[in-house]
Amino acid sequence: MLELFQYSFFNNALIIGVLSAIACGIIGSFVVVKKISFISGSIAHASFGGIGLAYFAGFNPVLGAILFSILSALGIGFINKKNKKQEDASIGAIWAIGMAIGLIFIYLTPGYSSDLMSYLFGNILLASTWDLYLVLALDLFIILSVFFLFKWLVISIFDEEFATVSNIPVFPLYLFFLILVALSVVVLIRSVGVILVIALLTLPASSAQLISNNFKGIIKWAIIIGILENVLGIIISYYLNIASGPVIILLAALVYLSILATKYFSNKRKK
Amino acid sequence: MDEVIRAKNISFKYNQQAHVLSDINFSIFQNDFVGVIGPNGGGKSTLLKIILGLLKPDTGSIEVLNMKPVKARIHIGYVPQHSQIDLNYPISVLDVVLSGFLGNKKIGTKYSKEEKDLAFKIIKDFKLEKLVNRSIGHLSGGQRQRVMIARALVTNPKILILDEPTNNIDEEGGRDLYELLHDLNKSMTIITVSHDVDVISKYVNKIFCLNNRVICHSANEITNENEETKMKKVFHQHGCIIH
Repeated sequence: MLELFQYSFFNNALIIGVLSAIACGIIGSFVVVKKISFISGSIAHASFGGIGLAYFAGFNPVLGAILFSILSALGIGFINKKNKKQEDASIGAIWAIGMAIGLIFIYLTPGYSSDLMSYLFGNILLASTWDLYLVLALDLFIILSVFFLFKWLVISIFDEEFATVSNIPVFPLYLFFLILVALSVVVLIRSVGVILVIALLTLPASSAQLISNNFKGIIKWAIIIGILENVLGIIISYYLNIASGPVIILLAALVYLSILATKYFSNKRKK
Repeated sequence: MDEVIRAKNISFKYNQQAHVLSDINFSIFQNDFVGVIGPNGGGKSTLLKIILGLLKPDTGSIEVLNMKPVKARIHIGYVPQHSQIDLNYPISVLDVVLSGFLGNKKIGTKYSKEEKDLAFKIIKDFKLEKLVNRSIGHLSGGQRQRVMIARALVTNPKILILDEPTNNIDEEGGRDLYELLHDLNKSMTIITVSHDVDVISKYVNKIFCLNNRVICHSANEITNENEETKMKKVFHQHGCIIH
């Protein structure tokens, strides 16, 4: 197995796997605690519009994904602020509109886009060194942002009304947080793809939430669990010669269900 | 005595619905202890939100400490309704109390030693020191409410506003809470929304009966009478029914 590490593509994949587990451990914990997994799903799918645009116009698909995911994040944030009643419908609409835009651009682009599947379902083994630097940069930005804003984010999610009355800029913080969600979606697109992002953002953090009831503890465990799942998933997908995305997701689901079952049975025994 | 809140001809309605508040006038003075009572939908929470600057009245004017409500917020301690709180939220008692400082802090800075000391002092005063690291969901209703009040007090507010603080607390816990507020009232003005007229009338000096309009009573007026006339006076006379 050691000979695997001679290949730079494999090392790139592992490093990206670890980096993306860190980003999604941090942001995923907030997503799960704030219960906005479908907002993150919507942002992820909308980013496909940007990938399609990039294919059509001939620039890097990841940049297109960044553009569309941030725009959709801000869109959802403003709609939510303006009219809370429209939130659910707007999440669904933005989800589908982004996909539709992406598909139309790809249809208009001559030739068959062979690595399109890898954006939809993820294949980390195709990641380039450029991808690695980009993920590293996004990761650092996410880590530093949350490091400095942690207390403010935690309290404005916990008690929005109190936070507003104590003059905490709740809405700008929320928009910034949605941008962080958008960026972690972009980080995850390489490893699990647009369609499966929602699972990797939520599963490790949900597992962690079963282990710890302290916010920092949840983040710590989400990162640890995420790293294990990503690394193991990448190795398995290499040997089975299938895309990394579905393997990682199924592993994550298995871990979550195992912890859930262990907890359930140990609670039952206590009673 | 100084007037801390002055409301003149305030009206408010949500979207196109009927007026929740119409033509409200009142004054609250320093060290008043005001109990706001009234039926569901009578506008109690709406009135608090207007005082806090969370909602703007459609007509009329309101001044808090001679300022616009939004400007006066730094002098207000606020204890939201219990239902606002997610009991599974992963946050400890200490972090909740400390969060009272966040609004006045530069974003990205740490809590100072003074802030931590002050938070611990209040936690001790409120007999919560054994619970500092406990999650907010693992407390009794009364303990949780004391945590929320402690959080509102760390900034040393001039006015304390509570929305139904005794919801989810048993009778004894409710009385303890009002005793606590009674002590705090020596150094600050308190406004509390409540369902239980009987209990609050022992502690407050003013009662606002709110049923889209406000009728102000001094509490003596109520406590000196027997139960029946008390209820009659507060509610029936003004067409205000309690649920």
